[in-house]
Amino acid sequence: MAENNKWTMIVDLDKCTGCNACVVACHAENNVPIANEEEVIKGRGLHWIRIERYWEGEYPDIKARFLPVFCQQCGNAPCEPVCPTYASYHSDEEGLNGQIYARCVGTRYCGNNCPYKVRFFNWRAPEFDEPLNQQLNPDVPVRGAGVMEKCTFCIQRIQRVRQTPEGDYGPMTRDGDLQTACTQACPSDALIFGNLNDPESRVSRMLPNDRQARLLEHLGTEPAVYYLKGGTTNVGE
Amino acid sequence: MSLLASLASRRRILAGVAVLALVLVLIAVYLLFINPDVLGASDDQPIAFNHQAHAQNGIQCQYCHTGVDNSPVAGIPSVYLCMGCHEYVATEHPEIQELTGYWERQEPIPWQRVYDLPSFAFFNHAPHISAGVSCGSCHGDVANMTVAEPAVEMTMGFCLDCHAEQENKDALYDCLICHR
Ligand code: HEC
Ligand code: HEC
Ligand code: HEC
Ligand code: HEC
Ligand code: HEC
Repeated sequence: MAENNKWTMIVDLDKCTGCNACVVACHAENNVPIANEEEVIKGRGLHWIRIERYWEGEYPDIKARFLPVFCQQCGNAPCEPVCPTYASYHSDEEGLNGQIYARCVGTRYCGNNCPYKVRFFNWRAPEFDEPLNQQLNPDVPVRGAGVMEKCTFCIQRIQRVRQTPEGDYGPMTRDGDLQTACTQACPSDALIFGNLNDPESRVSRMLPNDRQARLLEHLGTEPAVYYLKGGTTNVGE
Repeated sequence: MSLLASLASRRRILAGVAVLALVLVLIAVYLLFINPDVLGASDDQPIAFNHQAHAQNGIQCQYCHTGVDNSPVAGIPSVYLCMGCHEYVATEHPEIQELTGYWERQEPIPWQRVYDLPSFAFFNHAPHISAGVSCGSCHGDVANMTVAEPAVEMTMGFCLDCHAEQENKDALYDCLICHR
């Protein structure tokens, strides 16, 4: 079925400085719970965005490379068919992998089948200590124990714009009407978000690109996240 | 068994039945009169706001619920808006004097919610008003209510039954428009 929207992210690896501003912004926007040290050691940390760091070369000729990884919003997603309750499903309207928390019973099949390891399980009910509880985003539900969660491309921001008179209630929103929390926070403009079905959008004008690559593309997952390969880097030079 | 003994045991059974009946009556009284919450009636509002009295005077819904046509929430009017009229209108009314008390103390009125979706379901007024859906199809005849009370149960079925009749049914069935 044709998609009305094709939300797309471009990550320019030449521009990413690994500063983690996107990770923090994402936590704040999406009420992502904060795991303590013990839980992180057990592999139970939750970050919808993870910045992978790679060293290239030998000291002193060494360069740091950063790779932000988050839900790739696959067009052909391995997480969807394995969900026994259809909590993980494909939204043809938005071109996104939906995760309906109310429907999730916590089998974790989706997380196991995800090649990017970007789905996170709530091993316990989240706690937001004072004053963090005061900044919870009312547009996003707080997920309870036993539920899988992941990056949504800030669906609450998409819906908020689409469902207003300015958004024309239509499938399309113009570039500049909205940004995800991570793109908004990125100081070096390494993250670019937009609708690939809108020929005027910045992502449409940037793709296809000589430098483009998608993660584990050979698996046939059709990710909606495009990485622009770094030739040089501004870190360590 | 002697006649006496059987009489005594029958009396004991009768007493048991009487106690049971009394308990049932007490539970019924509690449910019906003392704790209206059990029957789903709304909590008492801090001020007995009367929609009918205002509608009869020709005041439009949008005058007070200003957000309906441009935002997710309809919005409950501020004390300031009430006082725009009630500084002059019905000032002797005891409820208006209570209202004036909130105004003078500079306190918001702690209105109780009548409709409240669970936190995982998201509603948005703007697209409905823009598509010409009337307040009444979801909230009943508020203009004739002296106390605002739920007219329908806002279940997912209620939402989807109407969405099923729309032209762009597929878009309005997508889980992501209501769940995030
Ligand atoms: C004079 C201002 C005023 C006008 C006019 C008015 N309302 Fe209200 N409305 C209120 C106030 C104050 C409340 C909160 C107290 C209550 O629930 O009774 C309220 C509550 C409501 C609620 C319940 C909200 C909840 O808590 O979930 C609904 C529904 C509602 N109004 C619909 C309407 C409709 C429909 C109209 C037009 C026929 C209308 N109102 C006109 C002031 C107004
Ligand atoms: C399609 C159904 C629908 C229509 C039409 C509708 N409402 Fe609502 N309304 C709701 C639902 C559902 C809620 C509860 C929202 C929540 O809990 O998040 C609500 C909540 C409210 C509230 C209290 C919470 C808030 O949003 O401020 C008011 C006041 C209200 N509606 C007024 C109105 C008025 C006035 C109109 C007509 C102009 C109207 N509604 C039309 C479904 C509807
Ligand atoms: C546009 C003017 C206007 C606004 C705004 C307004 N009212 Fe009224 N109100 C009236 C009128 C007119 C009456 C009817 C007076 C009468 O019948 O004597 C009334 C009557 C009342 C009464 C008495 C109802 C009864 O049972 O007779 C109460 C209580 C009340 N209003 C509360 C409020 C509250 C609370 C607000 C703010 C949410 C408010 N009003 C906003 C015009 C207004
Ligand atoms: C009486 C009919 C009716 C009822 C009941 C109703 N809706 Fe709607 N809904 C509509 C119409 C009509 C539209 C606008 C369709 C359009 O703009 O093309 C709509 C649009 C929406 C949208 C925006 C869709 C988009 O484009 O993203 C949301 C969200 C929504 N409804 C949620 C709800 C929820 C939640 C409920 C139940 C509490 C509900 N609706 C009940 C008729 C209804
Ligand atoms: C038009 C809006 C709308 C759409 C579309 C919608 N839902 Fe719902 N859903 C609701 C509302 C409103 C509730 C809350 C109902 C209640 O309080 O009884 C709900 C409740 C639920 C619940 C119940 C949770 C619980 O614990 O009671 C589940 C599960 C659910 N939805 C899953 C889905 C799935 C899966 C889809 C997509 C196939 C979907 N919903 C589409 C509005 C919607």
